[in-house]
Amino acid sequence: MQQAESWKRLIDLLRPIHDQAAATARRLGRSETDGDDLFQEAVLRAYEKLPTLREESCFRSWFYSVLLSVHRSRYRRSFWRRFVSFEGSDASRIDPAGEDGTEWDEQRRGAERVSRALATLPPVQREAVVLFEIEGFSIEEIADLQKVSISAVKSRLARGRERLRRYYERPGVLPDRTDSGRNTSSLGAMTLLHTPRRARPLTEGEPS
Amino acid sequence: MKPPQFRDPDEAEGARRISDQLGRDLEALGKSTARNVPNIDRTAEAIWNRNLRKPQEGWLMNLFQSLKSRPRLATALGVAVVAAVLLAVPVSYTRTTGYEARLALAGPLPQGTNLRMIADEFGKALQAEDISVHAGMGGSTLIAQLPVRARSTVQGITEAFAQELNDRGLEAEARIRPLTERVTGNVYAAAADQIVAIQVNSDGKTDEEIAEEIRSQLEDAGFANAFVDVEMGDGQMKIEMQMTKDSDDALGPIQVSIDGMEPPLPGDACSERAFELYLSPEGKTAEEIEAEIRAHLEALGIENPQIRVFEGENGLEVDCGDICSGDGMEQQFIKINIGDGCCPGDPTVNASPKSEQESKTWSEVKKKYK
Repeated sequence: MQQAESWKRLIDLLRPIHDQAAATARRLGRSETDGDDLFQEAVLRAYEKLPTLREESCFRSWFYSVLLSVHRSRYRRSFWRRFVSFEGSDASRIDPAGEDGTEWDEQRRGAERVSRALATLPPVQREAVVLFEIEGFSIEEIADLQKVSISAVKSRLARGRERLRRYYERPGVLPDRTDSGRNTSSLGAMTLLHTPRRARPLTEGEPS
Repeated sequence: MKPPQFRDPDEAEGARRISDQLGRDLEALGKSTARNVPNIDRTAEAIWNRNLRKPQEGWLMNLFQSLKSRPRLATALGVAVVAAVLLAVPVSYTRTTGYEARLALAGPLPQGTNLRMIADEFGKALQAEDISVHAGMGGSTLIAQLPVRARSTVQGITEAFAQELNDRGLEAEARIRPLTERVTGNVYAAAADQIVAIQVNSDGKTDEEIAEEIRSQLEDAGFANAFVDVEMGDGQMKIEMQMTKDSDDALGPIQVSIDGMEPPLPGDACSERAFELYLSPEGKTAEEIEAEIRAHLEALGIENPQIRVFEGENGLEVDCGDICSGDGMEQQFIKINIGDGCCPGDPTVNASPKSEQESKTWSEVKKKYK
């Protein structure tokens, strides 16, 4: 009975942040499925640790701490997963293309590319980049979640970005610009010509 | 002062392009992963059902869970189940019951001989009770069915007999085939069936006679040309056997029993130390008796024997710990008697206490308590 009540309490607390946290888990995972598993494991861990939650107002940051902790422990215990191919994970996932099928396709390619790049980062750097660049967390918040100093988060961010850049510099990762200029009918060329509405260049320094 | 660094315009352009693309890709990842996020109620239900719902499994699942947390009990139960299955499930196996020696004769018989004479000679040579004769147009066949014994012996005799007939001008060919039967029983019965039991009565026999008897029984069991050496000394019988498998149908493990007793297993130090000690306590202190026992035991090769002689309720008693109260052979073969007191408390040992200490071999001790 008490178990059911605890579970209900957790779900009620989780409800407002569920969609965001579930999406964060997908961004940290190697694939959407992996991310969904990560999220479920984090919810289960949160349920076990719920008695340690002192203030319900701090649930969001508390849950994110749990999520990051589970993310790291999953990474440690599944060393072999790093060698598993991405192919067949979500690449063939059927998604509504919407009105602009080209934009959707471009997004899918870009998301897959950066997912591969993120998978090459150590988990703490991946967390820092995802939370800062995609989730919009501040450096202070990330430092609090990762339980490290602000300078450590800055360092992780800088190193993470540098690694991502180096990954993108590898031949074949990005479509060749000259080729795409010659053949603008191909999807790869269209990807380069298109500028998303809210595209934000990857910043070097601390956000304002 | 650091010199000013000038970047290649192309390089700077490339870096900016990568930075822009990374920004766009991260945004794309943010958008694509936010799509179709599972509903919280569905996620909660999945987690609850998979991990948290109170198990509603049946007794079998509960038993499995219970055994999972008790690995030793699970192992013991597993072994018991396997043993029971082996006991219950019949297996079919082939057993060699003997050999059939066939002597095929071709052509006309030499003058002065007849088939009956040859059959009698063949029977005598093989020590066979019955010889069946099959006569046909092309020749005759003598068939002897023999109980199990070394195949090489049967083959050797039959071939020698055939050779002798050939020398006499009669065309003869020898053939041997094992006689087998299909038996169905449990695994233990099948294993027991493979054991070669050698039983010898040593009464009034010399070492060589005992060895010959063992050799003969081994040969009957399918082990031809076995080397057997028997040596008696210090009240112990030492038997050395060397043999090779005569054929595929020769039998398995060998169990030797002399006078109804099995010798100790090789390396069984306890049985080799079989010993019975009688001590008279008269005029001796407990310490002196203890020292005396220790000296005897050490002389037998028992290092640092854990002996303690003390005044008990019924007079002097001896506590000989592991030496007397250990498992198996030790408990049976080391007896220490002090007057009426005995270790480890077998009343039969006290029946006739002796005043002198004496040592007996394992066989003598065992005979006494048989």
